[in-house]
Amino acid sequence: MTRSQVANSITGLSAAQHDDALIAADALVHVILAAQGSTPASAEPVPFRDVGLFRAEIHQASGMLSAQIGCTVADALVQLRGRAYAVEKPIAELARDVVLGRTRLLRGADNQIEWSGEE
Amino acid sequence: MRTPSRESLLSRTFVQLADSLVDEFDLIELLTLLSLRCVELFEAGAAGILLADQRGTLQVVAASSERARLLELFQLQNDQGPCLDCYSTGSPISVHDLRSVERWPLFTAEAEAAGYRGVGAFPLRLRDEVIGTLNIFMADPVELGDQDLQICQALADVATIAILQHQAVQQAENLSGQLQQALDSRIAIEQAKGILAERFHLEMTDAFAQLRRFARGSNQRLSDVAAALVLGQIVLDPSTFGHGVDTPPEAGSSLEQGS
Repeated sequence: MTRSQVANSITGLSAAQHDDALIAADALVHVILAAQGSTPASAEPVPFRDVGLFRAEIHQASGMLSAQIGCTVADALVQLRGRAYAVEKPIAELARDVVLGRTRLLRGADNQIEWSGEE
Repeated sequence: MRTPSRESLLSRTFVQLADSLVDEFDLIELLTLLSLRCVELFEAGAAGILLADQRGTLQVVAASSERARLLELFQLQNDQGPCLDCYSTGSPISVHDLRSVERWPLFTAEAEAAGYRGVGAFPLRLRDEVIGTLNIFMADPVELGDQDLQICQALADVATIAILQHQAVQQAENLSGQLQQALDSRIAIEQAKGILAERFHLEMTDAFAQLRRFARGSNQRLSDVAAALVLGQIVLDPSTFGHGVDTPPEAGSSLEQGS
């Protein structure tokens, strides 16, 4: 089963409707983000393409983080997302920091997962 | 500038690409090969293949080099650039010197900073639809002749056939789903690059080269090796890394020093 078939079996949408829904969802995210006006004053407007999860660096960073703490890449992506939210950074930007080695995940003595490095 | 061997390189390229279109070929490997051959054939600085995802955004599916700066240059063209124009009009675009055009100021500045002066964008066409573009960068201002342009378009057409013939891709029920499927096969490769980069302190470019080398050396598909690595089913170590696979030295890489 392909990803869109899975999505369609859940939502009951046709393939074309599914595509339209994705585009509508993207547009809504922009409207909501603009309405909130909560981005840090110094931040550039988030380019449209940065909103998604398809940037190569996000997946590279997930791979690196998973190797750093020995977890699955899916869990590593959750860590990345959580951290991006916590430090109010676009996920693509945080992913780049990970790829450039500016920040990384560590397992502490009590097996706690911690972020280290500059932000 | 052109050597007589170019014709033989061209015929070898098409034979090799046609030979690769057998059962269970690896899409990313084939498109990477196609990008590398474009670089050789046209003495280009870089080449890459972009596909529109389900949201209509152009995404890199394969490139002659995995340098972050080059990948950015492809991605940037969702805002402006020859690929966006080619994708929206369906017509090929060839600019021999970016300094002579003013329509993409942001793209031109970035391209030049990355060491490129000439650019070509060729549509991946399926009947009356455009599904993506083949993008070529030249380090120097070089005019592509009519024959060159025809060859580029033929290579773009081969890329289209490869993408739509791919087994995993054909399972999706509509075109945009098929293209998304092709792009999804790229995700495990990016994750695997990250794992190798972290484990063996490699640059992403080297991580990809090692992944590709290991797949070839062990006669496995690139996507399968990437997936196995991501799932922890295999652990590559430096002793399994081979040497001497036909990845040519990266054209234009010296231009990136200090960037």
